[in-house]
Amino acid sequence: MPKIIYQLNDGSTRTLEAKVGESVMQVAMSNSVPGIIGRCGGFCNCGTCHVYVGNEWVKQLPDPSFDEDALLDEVAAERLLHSRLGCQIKMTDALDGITVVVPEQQEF
Amino acid sequence: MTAKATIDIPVIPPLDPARFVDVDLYSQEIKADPSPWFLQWADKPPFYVMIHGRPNAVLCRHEQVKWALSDYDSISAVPQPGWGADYLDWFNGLPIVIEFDPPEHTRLRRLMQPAFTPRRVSQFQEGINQLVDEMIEMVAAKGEFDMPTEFAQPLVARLLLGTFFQFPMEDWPIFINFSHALELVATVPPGAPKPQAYLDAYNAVYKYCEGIIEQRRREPKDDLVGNIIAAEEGGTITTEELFATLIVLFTGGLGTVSGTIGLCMLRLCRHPDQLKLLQDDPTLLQPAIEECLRIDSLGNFRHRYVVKDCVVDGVPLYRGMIVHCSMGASNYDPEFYPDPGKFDIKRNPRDISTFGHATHFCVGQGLARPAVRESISRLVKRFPKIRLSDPNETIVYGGMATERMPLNIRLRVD
Repeated sequence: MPKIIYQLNDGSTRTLEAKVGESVMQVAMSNSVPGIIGRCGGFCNCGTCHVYVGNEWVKQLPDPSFDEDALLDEVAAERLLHSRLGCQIKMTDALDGITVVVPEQQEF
Repeated sequence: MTAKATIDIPVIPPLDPARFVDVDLYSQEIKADPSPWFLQWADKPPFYVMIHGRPNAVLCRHEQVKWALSDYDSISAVPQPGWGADYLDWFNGLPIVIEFDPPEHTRLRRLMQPAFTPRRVSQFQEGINQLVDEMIEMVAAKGEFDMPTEFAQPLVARLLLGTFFQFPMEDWPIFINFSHALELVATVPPGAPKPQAYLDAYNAVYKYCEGIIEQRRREPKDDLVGNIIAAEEGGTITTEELFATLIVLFTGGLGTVSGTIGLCMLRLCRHPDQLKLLQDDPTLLQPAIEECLRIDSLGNFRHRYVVKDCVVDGVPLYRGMIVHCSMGASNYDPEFYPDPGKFDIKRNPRDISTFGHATHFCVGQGLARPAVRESISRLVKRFPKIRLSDPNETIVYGGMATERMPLNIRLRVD
């Protein structure tokens, strides 16, 4: 099972196993990872599962869709080059070990 | 499309009588306290109820509700004429965003979503705080007040109609009247005309929107309303969809947000131990609000239409049936929320169904949440002795058939 490494605001790290096809948001929600809220359940609607993907992993992800791109402009924390919505990152074996940094804020 | 060229009313095969429950889902009793029912239903398979002579299905388990709200091939959001849901036609047949399946739903939602993103909502945070504080000082002077009519409803009207949409105050009653009139549809039998009071309120809002559209065409503005009007001019949406989108946008939050503020405050006042816990430890605010939203979902049910036969947890759902997805009961599923009937502000529940799920997830929740949070936070902080004036007061509930909106809650703060 591919692993996801979440880097949290308090400096700690959670390493969690994902099923292929599960999203970075779903795995976080199922394991109570703090800082990823995922209000809408993973449908690219709320912008509360924003993560910063580790640089070396960005190029392995498909480009954001129109809706993800628009929502990333409006997330609570600053949008950076490697910002993505966790609900849109579906795990594959190739993403085993992906690192995501959880931003300080998801909503107001 | 919401309008069908022909009316197709599928014949529903005979159903297992043992799966029927004799209950009025919209009764005042359930609105006042649905928890005995939800506790009973939340870990059970779907069941059937008869509504207006037709069998409807009710889904209550967390995962099943989520499935039904997201599998549009089986369970559609698009109204089906003749299936008996006239009493749920709150917007007079207009093609409103919540009554489309993707991808049409996405096309309309994209017009509204930019107004409610985290970043956009943050611009209103200060305004929300200020409005709440002003309302608090108004009720402080009274010592005793009615939470819905003297705090929550005026607050939300000022926030949405005044601050957010910037309508002149003299025009607010047009929207408030329509919001109040929505519940008049609840008793309309299939095929019957809507009550005149409802139609008058609807026509007034419609006419007002016509005026806005005309005025904006003379003086275009690059804002939320301007973009929606431009979408119609550009052919992205139809004229009917333009009116539907504007009317839902202007009125959809009035009753729902104020009702939610009332439910949260009522819940805390009925559990003084939890209220004190929150007052003693303000860091519990976020989990406390989430727990209030879990245990008192304003929407008991969201209706959908079975468009493909399917079996859920051993229970057949047939094409032609209306399904009531119970967001309220979903929040009581013991698999997700152990001891679900217990109000525990330290629970910090996740993935609650109160604002819906999936692509139809409430577009305005990003604004609703801070309005609810700041109201509760500031009320309990400003008034250490906030309490029910009369713990035995009978609370009357209104709102749409599927909602529970408290209409009276007397509070003392002195």
